[in-house]
Amino acid sequence: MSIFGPDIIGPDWFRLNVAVVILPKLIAAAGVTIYVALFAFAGALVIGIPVLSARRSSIRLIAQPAILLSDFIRSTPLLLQIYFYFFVLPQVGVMLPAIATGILALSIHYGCYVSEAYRSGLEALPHGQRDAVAALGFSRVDTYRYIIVPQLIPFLIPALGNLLVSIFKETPLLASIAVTDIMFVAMQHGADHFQYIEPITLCGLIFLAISLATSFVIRVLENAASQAWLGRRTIHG
Amino acid sequence: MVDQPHSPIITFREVTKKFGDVTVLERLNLEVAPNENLTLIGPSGSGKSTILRILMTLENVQAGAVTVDGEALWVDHGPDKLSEQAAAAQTRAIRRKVGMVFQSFNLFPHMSALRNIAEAPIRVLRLSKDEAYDRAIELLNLVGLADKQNSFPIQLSGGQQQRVAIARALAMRPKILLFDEVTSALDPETVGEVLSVIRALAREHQFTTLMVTHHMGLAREISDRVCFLEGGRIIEQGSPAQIFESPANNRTKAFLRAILEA
Repeated sequence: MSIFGPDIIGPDWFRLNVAVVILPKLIAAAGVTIYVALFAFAGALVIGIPVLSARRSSIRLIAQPAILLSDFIRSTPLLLQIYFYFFVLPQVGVMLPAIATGILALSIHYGCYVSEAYRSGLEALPHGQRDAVAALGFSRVDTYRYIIVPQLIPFLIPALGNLLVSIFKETPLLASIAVTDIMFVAMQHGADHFQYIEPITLCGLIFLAISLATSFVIRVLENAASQAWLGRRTIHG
Repeated sequence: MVDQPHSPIITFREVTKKFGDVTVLERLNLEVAPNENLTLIGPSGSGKSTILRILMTLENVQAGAVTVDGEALWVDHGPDKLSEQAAAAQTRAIRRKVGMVFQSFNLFPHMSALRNIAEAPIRVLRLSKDEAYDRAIELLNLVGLADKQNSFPIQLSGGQQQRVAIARALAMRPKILLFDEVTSALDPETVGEVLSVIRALAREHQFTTLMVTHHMGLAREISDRVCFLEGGRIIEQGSPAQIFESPANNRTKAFLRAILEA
């Protein structure tokens, strides 16, 4: 037993006994990361809709500021936006827990990217589809619900999946406002025990596992979506 | 031309349509009688398809008035003032009376043939699913595709897709049916099957049709009247026999010569 801690098991550059102690803590903290990322993704999917409709508005007074603002958000660092919401919102009387502030920042930032994905999807839709729904007299809501959105889904899955992976990779930025995600816990352990290699390496492996699992789910969904148009054999599908 | 005991079902009065600086229709006047089969011919850019798209409420006009089945679609406010489109509710009512078949089919790629036909009756006419699908099956029989009800558009040939599109338009029970160059995008060997469906429809069913086509044979066979357009104006009109056998206008003659030699 040395003064720095227990005896070393495994190589110097990766002490297994250290790894075994911190792995459960990191896995627990990964839960926070996954929670934050999924909520932020859901938020971005929702925020993308009003951002898109504002950008495409025929009223210039709505469209121009919306385009400016969303371009601004996409071209400035996410870390800056996280700090902005964290320090500015309380000033204007909005008190949110750090984790909610983080989810909000991620949702707005990625909502602007999601709206771009929606936009390219709509533009990829053949022009004739709009003529056809007009000729058949579909209402606006029914047009989106039954004609446009079902056609967009297979197109959107890969684009949105990539954004979800990006969101996962950006969540460590929330450690900067003391959200106790996986990165925060890893760095805290490092600072307390002066053991950085093991927690950071394990963090990387956990992120790799999350990314691989996400990509796998996206691929499965992609295949399912491309099969759906041909696979349904029932009349009343 | 058919007898005209009723007032016209479609009227264009002094209609001008521009795309930017390009004038597509210039003070066009046109009347179509109920149950008349009218064919529009002319070189590309002459405004034929634009006439159909205005009736389908897919295009606006700059001046003039348009009525469909007694309802105003565009109201003229006199010289130097733009025409005004009827209220949204009236526009929707007109859309229900008019069906359109497009050059590029425009089927819904994510739906089976049957559902392509049944979807609008369910969502727009609020028919029950059973009724809508029963009618869709009848219509597929009518266009000779009873065995393709569960096929998706991607699995059908161009000719088959266009026949589904015709059935889809018929499912809305339109009073007026618009055919916009419906055979232009087809492979030559599938043109015949679409033409025979259109012939059968014109023979057996009573509704008004406006057709834009380059098939002079079809135009001659099923039209009551043929209009030759050029530069956004009707240059000459008359019965198919008149237009095809003894056209009066030199430009009509030149166009027919060019297209028949092609």
